[in-house]
Amino acid sequence: VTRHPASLADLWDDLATVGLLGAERRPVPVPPSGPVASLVAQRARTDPGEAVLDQVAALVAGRRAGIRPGAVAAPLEPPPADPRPVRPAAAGRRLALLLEAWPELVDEWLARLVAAGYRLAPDDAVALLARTRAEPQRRQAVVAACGPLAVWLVELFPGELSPRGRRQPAAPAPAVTPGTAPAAAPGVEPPADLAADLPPDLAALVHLPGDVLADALAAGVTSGRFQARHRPLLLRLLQQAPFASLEPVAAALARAGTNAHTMGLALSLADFAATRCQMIQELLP
Amino acid sequence: VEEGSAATGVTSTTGATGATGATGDDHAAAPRWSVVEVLALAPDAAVAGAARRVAVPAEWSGLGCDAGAVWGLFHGSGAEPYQVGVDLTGPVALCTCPSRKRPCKHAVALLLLWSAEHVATGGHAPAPLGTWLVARARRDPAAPPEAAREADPEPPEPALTPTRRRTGRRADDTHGPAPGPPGPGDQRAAERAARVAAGLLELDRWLADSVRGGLTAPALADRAAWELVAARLVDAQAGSLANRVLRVAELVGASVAWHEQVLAELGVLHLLAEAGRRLPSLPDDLADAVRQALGFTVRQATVLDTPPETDRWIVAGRSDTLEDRIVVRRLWLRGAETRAWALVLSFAAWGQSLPDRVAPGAVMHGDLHRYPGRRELRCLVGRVLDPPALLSPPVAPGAPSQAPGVPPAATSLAGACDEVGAALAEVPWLERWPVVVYAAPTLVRGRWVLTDHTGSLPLTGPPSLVPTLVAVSGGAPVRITAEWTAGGLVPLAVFGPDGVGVDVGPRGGFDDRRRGVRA
Repeated sequence: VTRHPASLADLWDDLATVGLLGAERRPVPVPPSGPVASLVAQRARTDPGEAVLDQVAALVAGRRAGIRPGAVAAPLEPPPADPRPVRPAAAGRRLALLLEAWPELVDEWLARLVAAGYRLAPDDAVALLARTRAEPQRRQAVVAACGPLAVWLVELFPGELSPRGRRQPAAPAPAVTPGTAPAAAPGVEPPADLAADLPPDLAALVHLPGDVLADALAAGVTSGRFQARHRPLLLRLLQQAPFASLEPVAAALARAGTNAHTMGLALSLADFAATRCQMIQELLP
Repeated sequence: VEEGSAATGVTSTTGATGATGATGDDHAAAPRWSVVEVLALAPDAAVAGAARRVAVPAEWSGLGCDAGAVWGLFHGSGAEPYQVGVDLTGPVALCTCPSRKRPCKHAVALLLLWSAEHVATGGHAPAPLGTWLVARARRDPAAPPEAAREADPEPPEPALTPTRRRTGRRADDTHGPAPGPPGPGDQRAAERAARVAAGLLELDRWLADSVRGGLTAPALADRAAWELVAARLVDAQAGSLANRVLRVAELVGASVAWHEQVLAELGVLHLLAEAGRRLPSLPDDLADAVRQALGFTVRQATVLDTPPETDRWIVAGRSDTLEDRIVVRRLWLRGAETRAWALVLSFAAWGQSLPDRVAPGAVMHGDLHRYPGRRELRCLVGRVLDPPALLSPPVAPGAPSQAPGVPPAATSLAGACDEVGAALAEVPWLERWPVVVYAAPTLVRGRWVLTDHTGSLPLTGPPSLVPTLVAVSGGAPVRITAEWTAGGLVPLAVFGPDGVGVDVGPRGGFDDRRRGVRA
């Protein structure tokens, strides 16, 4: 039986049914009088498939052009306020660089951020919460840096941001006072076990004056004492090095990198030292 | 390589063939670039840093160079070394590593070694690499940039980069193997029109058959059937329409209401097929819009000859989508003075990357040239008076932090509907339209929407876009750039209360499937 829908909404339902089952099995509906009926009346179609397509095209074009908003929706409950300022823009760009090039420095970056009284920018927060779903220790530091936004986001996006593994109740965000590190956050100084991993002769270098350390590293690289296989140890040494040493170390290693055999290691270490130096400067309280 | 070596100098005087090169100066060493120049080619700081770490001669073999290229094998952790080559005239890099970033760290490292004189002139490029370098070198070096652009199959430089380094070439915008523009002769144009018309007639018959048989017919569940239809459209030189057919195929079975979505899109295809067969009777601007939707190409020179639209163009948002193994980047710009919208496209082959260097809110002062067509937004970048600030890493301690961007003008959700509706009333087959709204994200029965005092509109796109949007908003109204699509608004950028824009647009790939399309 040919249907005569009373409205365009009913017409769409009828067309959808015909489209699903096939115009060979269901009669083509007759559109209600109006613009769609006027348009399709201009085409004398004998093929039911073409007749359906004419109506669909006219109706879809009209519905899309007539787009209107739906009902006003209730807003979300906002997250509790965090009094800390958002980290400086340069520190945000540094974080992006660390995540790609020097992930070894991310923990220290987070600790320094919190200690300096900053909080993560919201987009950093999402990225770091997503990356640390299976890293409970690092996640603690991320949550401290996020502040109350972390709990709010995890409740809204459990599938994307909640911790993996054993289901745990969402812990309240630690209370934060600008300028102080929350108890949950690691200290500003890198963990002591980094130094413990260093051979005694390298560990002894850490506390040398900056220019002496720089000369020692450059000489070690140039002479071949330090080679590519020592890179992890040397990076740990540079993670331990005092801030004042980093700039001379970076400069000395960059100079040492002109030799074909030492270039890769020297430039890599120089970049690490320079990056850490700049990272610390960007996150001074 | 042997064949090409005579023409390109890939084989050097010290190479196994002992040839000295047929082009005389092929083997002359190109002036080496400085480290700064090399590192400027890196798509981001991470690549620059990583390149320094792998620029170790001991990890390379087969290093060589000539006047136009550098090549070598990098011995990484894999069983096979990566073949790395750089055509210095582009510069364009090729590397067999899986990195999506181009140039990758290996290519930059190779240039660092070359820059530091660790690459001797001469040597052989290994076969596949050599073939690629030969193919690139075969381009007529005397050809003007315009001709090179037309012939160059390489993906273009990113949008808003009006000149390519060293060559001064403007960003390309050709899209894969798109059919060439109509030839100068009327006969050729007529032949093409006939081919397109025949293809559209065939498409329309297939559409009618599909609706007559019903959308649950087994044939429609087979993607091969859709691919066959698309292939016929490519043969008919309607490549854009072919891609659209494949996008509809992705909807089949993808959601509970897929048959309604597919039926709606079949209706739009029918509309385009009808319009395409009536081109001579349509108004010029509408006919141009139909041609664009079908896949007719327009010469860039023709576009650049149009009157420029000069403004301070604000980067409103970005979207990357994967279309037939090509990543298409849409950069939406909005005129600060005119409030006109513009779209700058760039492309990369799947597996290669488009550097993401322009932040939402960045401003380019310059000229855009618009493609022909009613409601056409696509433009080419012309004269740049003041380039946009690039997203760059902090370069030095104490360097000024990035200035907050300039958020584009926003409207209410009802206002956005008015804008979208007006565009669709004139060009009903539009698949997307940009809007900037001032609204808050919220949840309605488990679905994310944007809401304000005028109502709400659903969000769509990859689910990964929403958390950052919500985080930046904090649940409060913010300025958001989005693409209207039939399924809802795809968020592209969000501007926080401080005016800083955050790019949240789709990154391309297989997760980027539109969902919830509605008629």
